[in-house]
Amino acid sequence: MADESKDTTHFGFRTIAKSDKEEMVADVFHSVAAKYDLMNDLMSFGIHRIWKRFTIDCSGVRRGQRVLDLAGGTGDLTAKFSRLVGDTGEVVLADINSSMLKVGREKLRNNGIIGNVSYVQANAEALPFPDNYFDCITIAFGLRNVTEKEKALASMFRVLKPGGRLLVLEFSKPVLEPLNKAYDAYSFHILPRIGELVAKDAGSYRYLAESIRMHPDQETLKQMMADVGFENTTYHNLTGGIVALHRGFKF
Amino acid sequence: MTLTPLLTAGLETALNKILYRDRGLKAARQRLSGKSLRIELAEITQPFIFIFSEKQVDVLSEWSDTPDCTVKTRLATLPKLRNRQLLTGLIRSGELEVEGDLQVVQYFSALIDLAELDPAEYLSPWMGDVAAHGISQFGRRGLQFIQGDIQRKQGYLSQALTEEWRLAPGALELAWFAEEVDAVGRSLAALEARIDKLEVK
Repeated sequence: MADESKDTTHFGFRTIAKSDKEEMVADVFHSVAAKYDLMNDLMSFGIHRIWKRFTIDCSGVRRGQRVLDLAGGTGDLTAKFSRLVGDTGEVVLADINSSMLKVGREKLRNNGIIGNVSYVQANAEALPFPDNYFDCITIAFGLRNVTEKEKALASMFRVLKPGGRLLVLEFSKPVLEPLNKAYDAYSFHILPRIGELVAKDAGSYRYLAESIRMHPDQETLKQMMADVGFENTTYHNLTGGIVALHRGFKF
Repeated sequence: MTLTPLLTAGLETALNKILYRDRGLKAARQRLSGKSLRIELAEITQPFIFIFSEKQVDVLSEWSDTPDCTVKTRLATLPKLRNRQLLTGLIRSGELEVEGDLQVVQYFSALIDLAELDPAEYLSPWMGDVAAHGISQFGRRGLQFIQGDIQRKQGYLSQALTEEWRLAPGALELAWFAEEVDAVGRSLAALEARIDKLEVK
């Protein structure tokens, strides 16, 4: 039983076998996909739009570049990127979850975003792209759900072009203690209620709150990025550190 | 970080509502699609970058690509952009600095010129044309009345200050006083000149 720690990981506050996590996360997102956008707006009071906007501003994407929106879910970032890179560029929306990808594709096509966007169902730990392929990779609120984060970061490092950048937008640890308290109360008591009312699924949103607590804090994630080879890694705390945007370059 | 995304988000939503809803503006939008415009305001350090596409305009506060056109101006000049005839005059007088493709600014100015800012337009889908028109007329009249009232009150106040309480001089009095001062200055200069002449002798 001693060597079991190697094969286990966390799923929220529960400890489970590594082989199970992918499936359990998939179940969560299959369950919430349909109401995903509505829930995002409700849970964050619409602030997630500001966070994503800041990410776009930091991305420095130009016309004609190739962008990977990893764990892109319902394609909020992809829509923006597709207009930024123009007709000569390319945006790949990748998600491990087929339900989320379907919702995203539906939404983008209904908004008339076609032509320079392609959809790939892929695992972040083993990206099915050649080396040095993308100018920019973003992963917004996705890294938390990946079983082996180091492996995923290394895989992103591989497909990134030299000079390209990785942006990780993810929940983090609030820097102020009072904010931390209020945030804890909100996410453990109110979030699951909202989830139950709107998406009829309190469990998934309890997992959301728990997985945020298990995610490495700002400095740890920065170190993890540096460990797999990213350079000039920095982070910005947004909304008092509830969310942090990490940025790293490959040279 | 906190304010800029809010500002760009608000601007983007407003511009999309005003410029990208109306089907009549399609031709004007078409000419802009695929173009980018960077506006630098003297009052705000952050530039605004507009990226026009077929279905909407995106507003960014940072973009590392070179935009098709860069405009440097002040906040007060922006409303004048609506008038296409003034554009060349503004550029010549130096109020508007344009780098790159001038056509982008011209098209943009044409687009906002064509856009109708009528509140009735936005109300009518909700309450019908008649009610929307009535409300907007009522609002406009109310606004006019309030503006007229404020102007009249200002007149009363200025008259009370100058005529009744005599706390401040009236406009004519002030002009007369300034002229008197000038006259005193002139006679002083003449006197100085005479003294100089006498001293030389």
